[in-house]
Amino acid sequence: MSGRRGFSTIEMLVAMAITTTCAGVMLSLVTAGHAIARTQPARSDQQQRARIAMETLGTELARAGAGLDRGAQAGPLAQYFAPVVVSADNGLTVWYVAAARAQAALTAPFVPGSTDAAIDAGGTCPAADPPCGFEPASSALVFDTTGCHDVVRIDAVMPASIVTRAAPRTCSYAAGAAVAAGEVRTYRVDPATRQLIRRDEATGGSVPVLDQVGGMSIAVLDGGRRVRVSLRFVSTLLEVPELVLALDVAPPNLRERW
Amino acid sequence: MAVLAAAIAAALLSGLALAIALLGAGEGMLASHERMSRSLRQAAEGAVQLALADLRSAPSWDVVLAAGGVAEVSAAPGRLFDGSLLPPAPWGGGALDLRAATVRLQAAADAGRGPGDGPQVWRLFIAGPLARAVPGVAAPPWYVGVWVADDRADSDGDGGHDTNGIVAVRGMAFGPFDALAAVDASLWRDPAGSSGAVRILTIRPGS
Repeated sequence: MSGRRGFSTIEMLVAMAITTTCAGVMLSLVTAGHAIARTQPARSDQQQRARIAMETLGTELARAGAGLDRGAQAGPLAQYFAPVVVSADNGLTVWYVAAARAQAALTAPFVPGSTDAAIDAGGTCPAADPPCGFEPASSALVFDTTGCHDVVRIDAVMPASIVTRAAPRTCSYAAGAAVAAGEVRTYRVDPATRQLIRRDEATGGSVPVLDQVGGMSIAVLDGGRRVRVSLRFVSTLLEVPELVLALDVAPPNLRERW
Repeated sequence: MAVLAAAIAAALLSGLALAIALLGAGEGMLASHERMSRSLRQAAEGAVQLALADLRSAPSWDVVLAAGGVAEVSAAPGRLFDGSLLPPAPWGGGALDLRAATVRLQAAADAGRGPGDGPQVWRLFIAGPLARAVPGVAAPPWYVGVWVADDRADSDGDGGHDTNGIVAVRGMAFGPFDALAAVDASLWRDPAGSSGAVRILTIRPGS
């Protein structure tokens, strides 16, 4: 028994100091790791929202200003009016003809108060395809060479005309004005819900696209050839800073002037 | 006791580190895919612009729309043109099948042809690695191709002959893992036919 001895006080103190230091280091690592683990999903969500915004707005701006592929008014919409504008509620409004199909010209005046637009089936659009590819429950752009432009909702397609839900709002269109399947969409931020909203200007209907968007600013530059959009993404976590996405786009259909 | 506490702390830390690493890796992968998607789309648009430069020098659309020695290829291809329809993919791996891409494009055009639409015969106009299209620039290893066809509104019934001055163009950029971006454009040639009088009527992201 005389050979057995315990730890000395010094040894105990050194062991305790080492244990305390190790525990302290571990605790600080765990605390820091926990904080990162708590905020990282929110940061990832923010990044993902920014990517979706970039994809959504980028795709819309890639189409912006696409006009007719044939006929007397063929070419970019910018020949006749500004297809990318800042809306009255500070949103981004884009106009475009959606596809190469469903493009025609009016054969009779289309005036405020009228919802029947006669189209030249067999003229600028194929003869054997009387409705020219227009479809009910879709939208169409109407525009002429004077700069008048409207968007209408198509309720029915007849052999030589389309029936719209509402009459044109801005102008009286003479025969020869262009009619084409297209879209007019406005993207704006609702400050109350902090959502990025997409509004269909033909129907007035709105759908939320993204949550937690704190604000949006838009600038149309170089005479309408370039668009700069800045979106501010917020988070519900105070520790996560705001993320600002800045898009500077020269839409392909707006680059060239005719 | 100390060993147990250390083991628990180490396990906890490892778990946290793993979770953060997984999130970071996922984030990196998403960002990389996003970059590639945007880059491919820009490459496809760039390919259309490259084709436009060559198309401007063609004397007429008919020369471009006619079949070359190989039916899938234009009789007057652009300057960027690989001799093979099975070129090696610039990112490594197997070969790209441009003949199959042409067949797919033709099948889609035939399926979407309306009763009054004119026939379209798609032919390859330019094809090559993006890096060769923009020498001296650190371009990503994408492969670009541009196909041309008569437009659907040309109702003369001959897909190899243009009567309205308009042709349809599809630019595609290929990347690894079957990544693909497409851009559709309509080009118009002034009936006077003077050099340079070719303009883009519309350009839209392809589907």
